[in-house]
Amino acid sequence: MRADSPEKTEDIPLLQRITFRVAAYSILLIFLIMISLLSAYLLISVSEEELIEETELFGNVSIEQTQDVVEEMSRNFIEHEAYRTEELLHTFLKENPSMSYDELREDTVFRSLALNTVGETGYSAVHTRDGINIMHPNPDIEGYDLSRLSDELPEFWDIIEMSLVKEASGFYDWADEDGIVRPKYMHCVPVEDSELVVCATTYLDEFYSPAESLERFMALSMERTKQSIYERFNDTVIFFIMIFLVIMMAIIFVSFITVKRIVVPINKLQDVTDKVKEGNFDARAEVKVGGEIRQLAERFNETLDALSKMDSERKQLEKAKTEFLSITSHELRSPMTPMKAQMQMLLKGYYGKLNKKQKEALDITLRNTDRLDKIIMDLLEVSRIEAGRLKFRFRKVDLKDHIERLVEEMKGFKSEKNINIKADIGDIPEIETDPDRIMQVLRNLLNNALKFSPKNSEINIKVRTAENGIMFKVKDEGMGMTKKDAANIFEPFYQVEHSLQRKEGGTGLGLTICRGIITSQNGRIWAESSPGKGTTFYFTVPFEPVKEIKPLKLMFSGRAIMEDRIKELFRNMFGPVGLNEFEDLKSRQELDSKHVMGYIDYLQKSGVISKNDADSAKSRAESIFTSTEQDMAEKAGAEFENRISEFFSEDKNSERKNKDEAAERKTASEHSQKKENKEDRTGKGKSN
Amino acid sequence: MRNMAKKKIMVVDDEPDNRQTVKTVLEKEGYEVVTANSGDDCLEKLEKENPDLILMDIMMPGTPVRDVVEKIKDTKIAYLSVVRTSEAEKEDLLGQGNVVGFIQKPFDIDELASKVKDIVSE
Repeated sequence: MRADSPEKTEDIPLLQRITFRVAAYSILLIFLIMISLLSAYLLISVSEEELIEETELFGNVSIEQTQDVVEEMSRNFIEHEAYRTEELLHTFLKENPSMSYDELREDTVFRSLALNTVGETGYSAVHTRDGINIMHPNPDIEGYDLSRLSDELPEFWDIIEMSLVKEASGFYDWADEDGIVRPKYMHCVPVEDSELVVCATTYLDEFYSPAESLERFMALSMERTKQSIYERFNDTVIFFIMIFLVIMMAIIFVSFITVKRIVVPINKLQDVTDKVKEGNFDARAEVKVGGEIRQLAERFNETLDALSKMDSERKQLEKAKTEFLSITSHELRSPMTPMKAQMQMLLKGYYGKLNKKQKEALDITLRNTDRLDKIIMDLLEVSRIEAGRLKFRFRKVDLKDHIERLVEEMKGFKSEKNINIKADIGDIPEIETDPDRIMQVLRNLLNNALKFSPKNSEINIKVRTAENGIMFKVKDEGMGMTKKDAANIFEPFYQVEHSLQRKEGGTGLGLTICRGIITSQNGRIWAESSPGKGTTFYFTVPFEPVKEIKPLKLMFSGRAIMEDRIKELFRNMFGPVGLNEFEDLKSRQELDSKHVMGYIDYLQKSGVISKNDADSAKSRAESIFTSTEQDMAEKAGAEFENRISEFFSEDKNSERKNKDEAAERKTASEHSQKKENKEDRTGKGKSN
Repeated sequence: MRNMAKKKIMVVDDEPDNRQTVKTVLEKEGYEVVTANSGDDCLEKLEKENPDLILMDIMMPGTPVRDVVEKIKDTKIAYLSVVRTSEAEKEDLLGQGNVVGFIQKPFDIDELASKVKDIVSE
């Protein structure tokens, strides 16, 4: 079970968050700066002078200037009317060249042409080059000599006088019907190819009153100013917005690039560590950016190089260890042949007769030679299991026959104890397996059972079909052992306290080999026992064999180290109750990642521990299970050595112990003898 | 006449102690024993000596024993092996050429004697 590590992944978004936050703040800051700049700019730009400049076209607010404009407009208008009328008259006269003045005066067409309205109150009139008016809206004036007005209306006569010669115009005052003197403007144009002159005249003020014009111009100019301000405003705002957008995008772009340059390489590094965690030491980080991140990646890769080297060295070491074991086993066994044979020959008298003591000596030597041989063979077997070189010959068999044959065979072993072996074989199917190996395991268990059972007891074998395989059960009525021992007896050279194991000549590896055989076939083997209540061994043979035998750690497995740590974990979690739980799990051979994690989950779901506690326990358990084997193997190797030396020195200890006990008994009996003698003497004395 | 004569056994083993031991045992049983110290040595001496049985150590330096065995056409061979051999492997080995027996080392001298007797008297 591989727990995810959320702490790691939270770090990366933090970097992103920081960068984006910085970016956001920068953007906001720029935005505020721009707003202020914009406002400042606008405030400054919409100044009075600007306003004035804009409105210059439309004149000042002063009345004089307005009036000038009005006058100019009026004059243009009047002039225009004069020209128009002149043209019309000219055309008429051309078509009617011989008409006299009187005739012209009578002619309605001529009249209508000559007498236009100019504006609302103005009119046009015609006079001759002599200054005699011939057409006028007021008929009394027709035929009048205009020069007679020279004194009364000097300005008027000035214009008319000039018009007798050429185009003339000007202002003059005139009293209107109500008697109010108002300025008038007149424009006179001589009619071409004739002796006539046409004049257009009107009151100036009919166009606009000064007050009105002022208002109108002001409104107009304000309109135009406002418009120009809005336009200017819009332009400026748009300009600023564009700049702002550009800057913002630049900031966002830069922050993305920055984050990417940092986050992507970090993610890559993380991917590589994940691969390494799974045991792939060949993964390397590929980083394209420069700077510190590249340096980090390079160092990281260097570290991986070192790790990879260490790993391959370790693997080589493993291989060498296994090969060493198998080579030395052969080498160790070779001398056995001449040793055993020569001793047998000695014993048989090949080289002369022997006395009793000599024969005894040879017996002891031969016996231990055999024992040594067995140990070496077992070591060899274990090394094969570890290297995954255990040889199986799978075939489809009905195990029932094999079991029955084995039971028959075992009846000859320790027959003096009169132990009854009962085999209860249920309905089991034919399965594909290696019967020799299965029987090897069963034989070993039966050997143990026979060794440790008292006289006249029973050994029960039960074989049943179970869920995923065939289940074997071997129960004896021996002295039993503690739960702790039951969990540990599969360890190489493990010694149960006060055991008969040594006396019975075990190699210390039998059960280890059994475990190796069963485990490599994905079966399970375990023991249940209590002191004084006998022992029951269980093992399962799966229906499907495992044909590809993988290396299996049995000896330098560091298993003990791992178990100690898990035990600590349990103790920390629950105190003494935890120790009990640990032993439970161990006795069921459930001290693996899957089962321990499942167990912790179960505790959490039942409310025994909180989620936090469960999570922290699980992560600690995980780290225990995935600790490097090398670390554990070293420690385990040392432990292994200790165990072996204990195992082989127990003889000396027990010999010493026997000697001590014998000595004690001797002194005790001497003491009691002395005491008896003393008592006798005193008794005798007393009785006397 | 041949049957009355001693049976000749050739012992092939690279360990001198093994050769000596086996020789002593078999001579005590009444056989004539010659020795060789490798597969090649055995082949050299084979024609001259013409044994009734060759006891051959299964692992020796020089030409691999398997190849040597193939070259021996007329003489019975029994393997002596320190390597623990399973039944299956034994079957394989016995299938080759003139190999008729298999003796596990270290052996019991009585066992050796009886097995040799069985083979030779077949």
